[in-house]
Amino acid sequence: MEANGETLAFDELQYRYDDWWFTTDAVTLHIPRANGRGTSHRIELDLGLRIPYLIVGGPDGEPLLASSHTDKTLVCN
Amino acid sequence: MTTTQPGLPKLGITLFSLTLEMRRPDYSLEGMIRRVAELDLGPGLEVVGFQSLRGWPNVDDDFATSFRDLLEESGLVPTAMSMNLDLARRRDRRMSEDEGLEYLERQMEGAKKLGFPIGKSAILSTPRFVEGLARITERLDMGFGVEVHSPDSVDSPHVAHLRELFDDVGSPQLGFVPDFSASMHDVPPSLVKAHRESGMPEELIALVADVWHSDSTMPEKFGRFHEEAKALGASPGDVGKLNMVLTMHGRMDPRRWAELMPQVVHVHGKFYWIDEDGNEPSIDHDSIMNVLVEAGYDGYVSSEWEGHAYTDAASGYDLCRGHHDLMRRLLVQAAETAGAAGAH
Repeated sequence: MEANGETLAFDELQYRYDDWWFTTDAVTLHIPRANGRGTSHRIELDLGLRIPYLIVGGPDGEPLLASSHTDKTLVCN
Repeated sequence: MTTTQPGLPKLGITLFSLTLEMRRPDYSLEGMIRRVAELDLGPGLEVVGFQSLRGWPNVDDDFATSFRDLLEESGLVPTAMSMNLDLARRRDRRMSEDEGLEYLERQMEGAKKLGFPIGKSAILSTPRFVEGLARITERLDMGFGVEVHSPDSVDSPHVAHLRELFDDVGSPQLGFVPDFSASMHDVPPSLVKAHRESGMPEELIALVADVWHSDSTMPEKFGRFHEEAKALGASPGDVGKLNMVLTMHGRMDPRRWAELMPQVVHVHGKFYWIDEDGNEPSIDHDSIMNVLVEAGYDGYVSSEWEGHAYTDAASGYDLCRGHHDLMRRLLVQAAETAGAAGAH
């Protein structure tokens, strides 16, 4: 994922809790795939937003999970 | 800028209502604030720091000056800075009390620099945290409000405990921010429509509405909803979306806000839609405006449209315009009723 001028592997994201993805900034997802340039791909994205200031289920509960799903066909460039 | 009669609640907006408009390619904070003023959606202006201000809570001097100048030029008044206490920011552990206080103190300093007299956020309901917060508000000469938002209500143990702690600390600078989401009489029809149009199974929509209207505790509601949704073959994604219905909308009697009014420092006028008759279909604004007027509240009410959480087929500007018209009409009625009652 590319954001804030950096490219990070998915597993690295969980340690970057001091970084902010500003609300109006785009992020770019890089998906390695050979010979994909110029071809169409159906991309499904499940985004689970853990809202860190809304803890549900009492003091020992978990952050509220706001789920969204996107399904689009994109051309690889 | 249109104002309400002296002695009545004053109107305003939180820029959170304009979340959809922030996604437009031509968006700028300055342009949005100028548009708010043009459409007479003030005079009160509330901002969510992390949403609207890049680098928040760091505020440099040049930005602070230009922001204050812009508000003055626009005839807007900074009312409350909405802050976050991101207790679960890390995955491996929760924020400690000291870390939480430091986190809020930096945001209060940023708010002060921009001219906001009040900060608002959730807090930890411990004596040590509340005492620490009182010291911060005293040092900065600011107020601080804890938002009472669904699933909390006036009756929540967390809120009741905070009321006692605020009394113990005795700081007039600490109080509450009622959010109308806690006192709804129906699931927003606009939300039901959006889920239906997105392909959500009709039986799941009916189930969550039935559970929402039931007289049971929140854990019981979640338990029943999950069990019956599973039996209907609901996907985890659909369950996650509908969980929000139970969490974000409360069923408290709106007249119960009266109990909290002596400790209210700011008000969140949450709403989800304005119908063709100029009314909000899921929140009894009439009762709430009566409570505010009867309590003599003359602080700000920030219109907060939150329907952008599930639809992008609306204008936050237009809906807030309708919400202001609704509140202004009901405030005049409430004042006349209160005046008539006082005359007898």
